[in-house]
Amino acid sequence: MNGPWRQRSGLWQADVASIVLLILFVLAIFGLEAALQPQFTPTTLVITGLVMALVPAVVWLAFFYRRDRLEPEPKHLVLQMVLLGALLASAIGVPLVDGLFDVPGWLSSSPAWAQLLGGFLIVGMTQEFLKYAAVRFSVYYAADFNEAIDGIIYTTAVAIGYALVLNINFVVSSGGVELGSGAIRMVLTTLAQASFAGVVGYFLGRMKFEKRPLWWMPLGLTLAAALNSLFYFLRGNLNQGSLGAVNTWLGLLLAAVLAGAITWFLARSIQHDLAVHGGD
Amino acid sequence: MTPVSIPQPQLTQERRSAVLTILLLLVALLLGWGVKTAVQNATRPIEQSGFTAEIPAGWLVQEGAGDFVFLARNPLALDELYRVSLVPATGELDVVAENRNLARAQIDDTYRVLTAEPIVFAGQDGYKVSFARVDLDSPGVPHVVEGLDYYFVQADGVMVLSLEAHSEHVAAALPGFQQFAQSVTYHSGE
Repeated sequence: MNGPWRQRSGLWQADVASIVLLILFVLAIFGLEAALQPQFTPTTLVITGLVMALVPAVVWLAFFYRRDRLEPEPKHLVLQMVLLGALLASAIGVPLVDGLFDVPGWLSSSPAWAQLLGGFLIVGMTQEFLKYAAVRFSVYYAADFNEAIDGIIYTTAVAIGYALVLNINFVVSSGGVELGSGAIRMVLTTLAQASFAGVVGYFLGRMKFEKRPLWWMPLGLTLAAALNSLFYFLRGNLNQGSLGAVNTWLGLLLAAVLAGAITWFLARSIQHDLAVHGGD
Repeated sequence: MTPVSIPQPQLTQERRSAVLTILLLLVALLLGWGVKTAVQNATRPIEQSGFTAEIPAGWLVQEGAGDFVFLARNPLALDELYRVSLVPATGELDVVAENRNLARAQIDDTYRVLTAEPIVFAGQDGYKVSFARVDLDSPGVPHVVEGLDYYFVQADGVMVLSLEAHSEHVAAALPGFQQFAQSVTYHSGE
C-alpha cells in the first residue's frame, strides 16, 4: 500500500513542479522582455524561438512520460517520435495548412461557423491525422508498444514535436514582438497539441489491444480534430480581440480549461489502466 | 524497434481501419477546400455616397472625405485595400489620370507610375494606371506597395477605383479587385 501511495504522491509533486516551472518560464520571458526590450537579427530570432519552444516541450513531454510508470517506453523511441512529429509538421503539416490552404489568410477573419468548420476540416484533421500516422506507421507494431496507454505516450510525443515547430514558426513570423504573451501561447499550444494527440493515442491503443469496430479510429480522429478546432476557435479570440478585451482573456482561459480537462481525462485513463494491470 | 507478429484477421482489420482513416482525411480536406472557397468568395454589400459595391465579407470599411468616398481594407493584410474616389473633373481620362499622378508624386516622393493605358473593362471605356510606392508608415521594415487605378467617366466626374497591396501579393489580389470593380455602381445626385 505504501509503495503506490508514495509513487502517486511523487507524481503529484512532479506535476506541481512542472506547472510552477512553466509559470516561472512565462514570468521570466515577461521580465526579460520588459528589462531588455530586445532587438532581433534573423539568427537571434530563430535561436530565441527555439529556446522558447523547447522549454514547454520538455516540461510537457516529461509530464506525459511520467504517467507511464508500469513499463516506461524507451527514451530513445519517445525522442524519435518527437523528432518525427517535428519533421511531419515541417514537411507536410505547415506547408499544407499555411501554404496550400492559406489558413492564416482567411480563417481567423471568417464568420464563427467557418472558423469552427474550417478549423475542424483542415487544421484539426491534418494535424491529428499526422500524429496518428506517425505512430500507426512506425512504432505501432513494435514490441515496445505493448500496452493500450503506449498509444497515448507515443502520440503525445509526436504532438510535442509538432508543437515545437508551430511555436518556432510563431516566434519567427511575429518578428519577436510581445514575447511574454507569446510564451503563454506557446505553453498552451504545446499542452493542447499533446492533449488532442492523447485522444488519438487513446483510440489507437484501444484499437490495438481490444477488438474494436472499423469506425473506431476514424471516430477518434474526428473527436480529436473537433477538440482541436474548438481550442483554436476559443484561443483565436486572443489574437483578434473582436469580442473585446474581457472576452479575449475569457477565450484564452476557456481554451486552457479545455486543454486541461482533456489532459485530466487522459491522466485518469492512464491511471485506470495502471490500476487494472497492477501498477497501483 | 522489434516488430511483433500479429494474427492475420487483426492485421486485416487494422489495415481496413487505416484505409478508412485516410479516406476520412481526404474527404475532410475536400470539404475544407469548399469552406475556404466559400469564405474567400463571400461578399457583403456596401452603400456610400451614392456608390454601391460588393466587398469581401470580412473587410473593414472606412468612410472618406472630399474626393475620396470610401475604402475597404483586408484585416489580415492591412496594406491590401480597395479605394473608391470621385474626382470632380471633366475631359479626357488620361489627362485626369496624369494630373492625379502628379499631385500624388508631390505628396509622396516614392510614388512611381509603372504603366498607363486605355482599357475596356466590363464593356466600359476606361483608363488604367499601375503604380508603386514605398510604405514607410507601417510598423516593421519599409516595403513596396503596388497598385492599380481604374478611371471611368461618370455623370458627376471621374470615378477612380484603386487597388493597393504589398508588391508580393498584388497579383493574387487582382482577381478579387476586378470582381469588386465590376460590382461598383454609382447613382449621381445622392
